Amino acid sequence: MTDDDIDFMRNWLSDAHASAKASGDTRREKLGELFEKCVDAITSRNGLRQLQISDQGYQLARELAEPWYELLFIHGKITARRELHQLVGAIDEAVAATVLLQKQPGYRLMACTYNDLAAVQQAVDPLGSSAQTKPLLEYIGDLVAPHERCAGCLRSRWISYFLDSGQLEDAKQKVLESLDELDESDGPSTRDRAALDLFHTLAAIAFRQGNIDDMAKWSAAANERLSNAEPTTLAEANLWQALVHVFRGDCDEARRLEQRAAACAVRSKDQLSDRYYDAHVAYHEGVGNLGQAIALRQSQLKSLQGCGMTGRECLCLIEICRLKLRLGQQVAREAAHARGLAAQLPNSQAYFDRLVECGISPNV
Amino acid sequence: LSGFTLASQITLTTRSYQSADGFCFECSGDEQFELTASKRVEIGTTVLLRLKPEVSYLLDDHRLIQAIQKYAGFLPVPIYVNGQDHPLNRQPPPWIQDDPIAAANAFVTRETQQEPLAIIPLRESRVALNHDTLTVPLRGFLWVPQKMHLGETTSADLRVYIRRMLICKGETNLLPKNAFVSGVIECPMLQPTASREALVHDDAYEMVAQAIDCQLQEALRSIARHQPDKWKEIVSLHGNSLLAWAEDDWEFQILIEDLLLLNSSQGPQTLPDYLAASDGVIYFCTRQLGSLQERVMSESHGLPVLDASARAVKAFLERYAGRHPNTRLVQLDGDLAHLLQPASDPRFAEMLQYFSQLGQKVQLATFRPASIPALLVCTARAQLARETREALSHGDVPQSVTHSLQRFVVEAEQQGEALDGVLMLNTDCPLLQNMVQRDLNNRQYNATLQIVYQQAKFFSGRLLDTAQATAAFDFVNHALLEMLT
Repeated sequence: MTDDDIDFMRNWLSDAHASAKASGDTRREKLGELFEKCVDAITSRNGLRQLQISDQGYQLARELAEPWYELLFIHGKITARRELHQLVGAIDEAVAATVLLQKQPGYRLMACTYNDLAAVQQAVDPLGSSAQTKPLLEYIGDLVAPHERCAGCLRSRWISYFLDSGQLEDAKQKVLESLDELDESDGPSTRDRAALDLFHTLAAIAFRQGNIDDMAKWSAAANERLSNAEPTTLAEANLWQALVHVFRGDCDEARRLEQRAAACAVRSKDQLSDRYYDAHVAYHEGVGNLGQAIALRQSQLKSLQGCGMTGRECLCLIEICRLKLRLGQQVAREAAHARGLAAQLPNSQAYFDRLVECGISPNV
Repeated sequence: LSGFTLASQITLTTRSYQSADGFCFECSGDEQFELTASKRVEIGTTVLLRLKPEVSYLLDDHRLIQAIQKYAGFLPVPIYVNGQDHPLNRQPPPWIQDDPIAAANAFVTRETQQEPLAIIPLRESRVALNHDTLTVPLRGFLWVPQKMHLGETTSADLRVYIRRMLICKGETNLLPKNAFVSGVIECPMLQPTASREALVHDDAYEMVAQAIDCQLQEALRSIARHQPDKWKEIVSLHGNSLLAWAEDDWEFQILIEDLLLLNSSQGPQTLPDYLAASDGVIYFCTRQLGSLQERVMSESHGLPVLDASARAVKAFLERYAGRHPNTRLVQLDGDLAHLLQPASDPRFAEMLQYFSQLGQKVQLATFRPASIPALLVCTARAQLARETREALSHGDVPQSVTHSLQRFVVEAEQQGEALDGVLMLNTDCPLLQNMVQRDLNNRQYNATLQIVYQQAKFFSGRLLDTAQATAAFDFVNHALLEMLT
């Protein structure tokens, strides 16, 4: 898939809308209008509105038997769901789009549909889906041209894949590639947002590798780009800085930054990321406040419940078990809950292995 | 500094009333500047901007006037263009006028061409700061807009002034999540960026946002309690936004749940009206489309069905049912089982055995209308898994993608989904009752059941591809021939 394919689809949309308008086909005209509104919602980063409009568009496209619009609106729905952490039913939508795609040979945005499938698999079941995700990502790699727009989405998927499977050096390489390829044609705020995400990923990788100098380097790089950042990003930036100060023994400054991060998080309109919670928990573990670390994981668990991210919910519970065991507390309830969630996933073993790593039996 | 976003050179000459000499400052935006004595005669200051060629369009009178009115409309210092007699600004901001609510109302009506539904004045307020509180010097107002078109959400806007100069529009990060209000604020605590196009997101920014959030919530709650008619209007026009708000705030859920108009198959209705007609059960559909089978079933029960195709509506109904234990929720689409009552009747044992031998999952039930002898019920997930299995078996799917799809099918089967549907035999159906009471010969009996079965497949509407539909007709034809001979 190349930029030409994207242009082809733009022209198709424009022609379809114009032809519906010219022939007085108001329902198909409405499809075009909904698509434009969906793009507006994406541009203004209003995930809820994007989800509502995409859903409305999808229903209408089905009713009018317009499969290309169906595929476009499913893509809109899935990207919104991922943004909002609302993934109940997302795997069904991604599979439905993939099945529909096989009957639409002229449709050019195949990589988006496959990318959605991979992204949802990773979000729902980060540890157990790698056997399916890897060949899928390799296949998308055959479809997209390097250095073009779609390659960025694919790199994001590879980064998630490497992070979930613990291949930190590979993840780091992909992040650095993504930094090199930041799209110059994007506006400065979009570029800053993308760069911030990448710098924070690099900080998280450095933390997992125990490389504090790198963590300081990447969090400092992120700080250079914060002028228009949203509260969620500011919160994360402050946390990485706080964590650097914890490791360097400057606990007063660390505490000030952590408090600022917590204030930004309260104001945040977006869902807080797993990375935010990881950094915040690491901060509290670093200053020896395990009770607060557990409370944070419990709050993360609450935000994950009912969102359809079974694997992530299970991992969060395992983390709570780990922290509670460090405090010498009972974990029977959390462990049972984690086992129950793992059992719902096709590859439960990957999660049971994590339980064992924490010293908990996978069996009741 | 912000002057250099437009100018390649800035010259400032000034003379104090206490001094006979003036000064001239010249700078081209780099680190060097020149400060010289000036022979300026009149007291005061003149700033001369030599515009960059790319922004020379600003010298167009119309654009210049527009820019002054937009950014400096509230400044107390008069601004004249090209020697005009009247200043272009000098309009005091609404919040310092004698009747600030009326002034704000007039401002919004002029700016948006629509009268607002409500004005919420903002004032200086104290916000919590860890163990202390801090006063936020806030002025301005928020307004609840009218909706532009039915079914659309109006985009929120927030204009921010600092010392009466407009800094930016659209600063919605200062508004609470899912806010449907717009506003104009002035707050000296906010810090503009060097270019004065945006605001610095610092601690002060967070506190101002917190102050706005508190005052907005307080004002909306006050409207809900003291102005019920106005609140009803707000809820009916901004229901979607309030729905999203209610997701995070129980009190809002309670304030809106009896007033919100929900789309039902019998037109827009509030939940209390709906529940009075449905005997305490909420029937809803998350898809705007149901199959003919689903529609016939619902309508035969005389049920008004709520449209919960928007995710927030379904979540709202679930929270409502959670708060009202006597209310039952029934999702109709994709799971017709809700409209079927399981049945048990030993006389149907032979019939059940017949379908089981065909490899078809089968159960007894009672449902309306009684004229339907059998239904093939398939959940949405089972249907998708079936389509996926078919796509895989046709070999259409690229090899690298098959792993993901196979996993989905296996998972659906593991979760007990009947991919080929479950045949529900209606024990209330006169035809089936007649069959179990009469002593039919095998040929007639099997042929009739075959017709019932194929009818159910046709009626389900989703389980047949073209080849299977042809095969179903062949079965029916064969059965009819059996009965004729």
